[in-house]
Amino acid sequence: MPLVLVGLSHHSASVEVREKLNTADYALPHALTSLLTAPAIQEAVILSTCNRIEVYCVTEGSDSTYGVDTVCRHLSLFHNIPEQLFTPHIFKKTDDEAVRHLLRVASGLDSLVLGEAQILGQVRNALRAAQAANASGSILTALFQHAITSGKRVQTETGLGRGSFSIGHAAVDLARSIFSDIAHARVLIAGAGKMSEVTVKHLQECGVHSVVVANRTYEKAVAMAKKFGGRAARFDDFIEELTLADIVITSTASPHTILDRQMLIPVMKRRRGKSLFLIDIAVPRDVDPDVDRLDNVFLKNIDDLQDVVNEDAGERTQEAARSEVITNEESDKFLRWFRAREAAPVIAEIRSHFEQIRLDELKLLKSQLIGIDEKDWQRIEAMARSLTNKIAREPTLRLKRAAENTETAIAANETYDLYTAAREIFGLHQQEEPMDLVEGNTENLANPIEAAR
Amino acid sequence: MTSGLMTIIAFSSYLISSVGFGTVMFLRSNPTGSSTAKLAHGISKFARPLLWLGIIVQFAAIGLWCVTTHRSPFASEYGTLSTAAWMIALIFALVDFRRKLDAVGAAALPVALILLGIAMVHLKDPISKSSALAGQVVTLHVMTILTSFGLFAVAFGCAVLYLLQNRLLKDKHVRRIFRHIPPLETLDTVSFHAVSIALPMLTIGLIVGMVHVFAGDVPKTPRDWFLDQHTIISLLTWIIYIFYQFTRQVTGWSGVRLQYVLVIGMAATLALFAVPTETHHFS
Repeated sequence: MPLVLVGLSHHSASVEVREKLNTADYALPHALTSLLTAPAIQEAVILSTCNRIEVYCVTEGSDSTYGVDTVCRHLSLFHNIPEQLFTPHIFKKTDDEAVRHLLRVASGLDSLVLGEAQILGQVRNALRAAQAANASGSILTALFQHAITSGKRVQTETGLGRGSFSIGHAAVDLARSIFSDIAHARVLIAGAGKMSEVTVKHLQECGVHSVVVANRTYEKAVAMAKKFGGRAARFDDFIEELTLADIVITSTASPHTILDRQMLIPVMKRRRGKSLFLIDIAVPRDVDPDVDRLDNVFLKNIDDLQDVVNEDAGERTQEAARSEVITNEESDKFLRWFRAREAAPVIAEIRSHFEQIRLDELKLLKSQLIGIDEKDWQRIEAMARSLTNKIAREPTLRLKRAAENTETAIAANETYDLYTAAREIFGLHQQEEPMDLVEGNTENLANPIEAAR
Repeated sequence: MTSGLMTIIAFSSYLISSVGFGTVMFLRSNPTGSSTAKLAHGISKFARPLLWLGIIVQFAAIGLWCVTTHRSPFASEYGTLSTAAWMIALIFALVDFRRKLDAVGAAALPVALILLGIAMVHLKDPISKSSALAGQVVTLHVMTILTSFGLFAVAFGCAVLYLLQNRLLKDKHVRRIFRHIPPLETLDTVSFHAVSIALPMLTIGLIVGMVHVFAGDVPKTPRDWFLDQHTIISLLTWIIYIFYQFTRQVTGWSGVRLQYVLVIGMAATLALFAVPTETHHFS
């Protein structure tokens, strides 16, 4: 029952290819249902984000190639694009590799921006969508849940998910260090640059709702204000608006500064010491750096913000090694469970076989020991149970261990003949004189009541 | 167990707790894998439980001292300073319980440690038998003033962090630690609220003290009391906080300069315990 992963990501494919295979949330149930119609596919989960499209499947039989081909065919048919368009970009992974890959993805180790935490939510959503479509069975559910746990562990135990990931994010972080609740902060935008839009979007994601846009072209200010659900102001009123604003984002195309210390002194007097956070993302700069010398004024330009992002990125790179260790630990844990479950039916059969022997022998013995004391009989039963448990313990453990290490054994080209297997299963290779031991035990076996006592 | 030993336990608890609150900032702004970060994590986990342990043990120490000496804690320098330190720790713990301002503990608890350290030096000092220290008026006078000191210490902790955060944010290269200090606005609000409660308490304490002096229940004349350095510094402290409160509330000013007023106010408060005094002595 191999686990198959077919996917492409920002590492292997350009956005032009990725967007063709991207499956929107609303289309996921249909995509999963259609994938499950293929006879070989037993379980499926599709992880589709802007940076990756990955299809995880559990396939029937031991041949994973068929599963890979089926997924490729499905992608081609579902998205109505020829296979040759994306096959050069796809990667295929099975079993161990697939597990390790998903755990790295969930931890943010495979993300475009190292450590970004959004992917963990996307992995969770992918599992939910698959569960809702009845596409995820016991294996993929366990795998994805384990990936989520592993991702959370990386987030809590390492600094991989900490810090700012972009300039907008850095601006929000700095604003949070100034204002108690940035949701109530008033944002004033001067100029209608792309970067200021991105920064405002970040702020709005944090709950900011009061946005004022001032622009030399009033119509542009109106259009941008509409976009953010804010208010437009004429550029002549910019200084007046400064008195009320908490966060000011400037990104005008002005060749000179639009704000200097002399202009800001009366504004700060009117603000009575209330903090003002100026984010100057214009090049050339809109705000004279000298204003930073004023009390309660905090000025950051695009380089300052990039510094914050870079420092955090450096920190995350250091944390990546520790995250890899955690991811490997968690992958091994899952793979042990995954392999051990293959041995479960055999173990159950062995235990059931021993149990049957115990019951049969007790039944026979009871018919021979008529009038035996109830307490003595209970001791015999306990002894029989203990005996079967002890006999079954070694093969059970060895079967489990063998299952857990299947991949290693195969990789090492280890082969077993029946005798070796039997000795291995019952742990006989450590017993040098088995006959003596059997002889030694015969006395006790001849008198089970005494043995039990 | 003696009250001295209990005070040592409380001192140690506050000390580790204070370091723990400081390391919370350090811990969050450093790589998680380093051995120092692991040590910091270990200490920071115990910061709050140790603070509360110290408060309980110190309360027991003060109580035991009162039981064994049959005197109010304010009949000795040890008792007064110890109660002042206890009050600071308690008020910080209550503020932290409500607002989770662990970083403030790193700045406020050292004030309690200084007072408790001086208290321990005076543990064996003779106890005043003066009747002037008995009675509920004196207790009210001292308790209101010590409560206000506790609140001033929390305001001081906030002010120190405000100045630190302000400095970090003003730096061209912003260091990561800025994320682990509460926002400037929060620090400003907490210190303002602390002073808003503390100032009326200090005022009541001073008025009660004056009434007690004029009632003639104390040795020395009212003139001696009012010309005493301790009284002068008390009034100076009161004026400093009145200035802060007036500026903050009436003119509406806030921000970095007012934080310096809180630092100066705390320095004046601590000076009260350091200046020689003819009237407020305990032996």
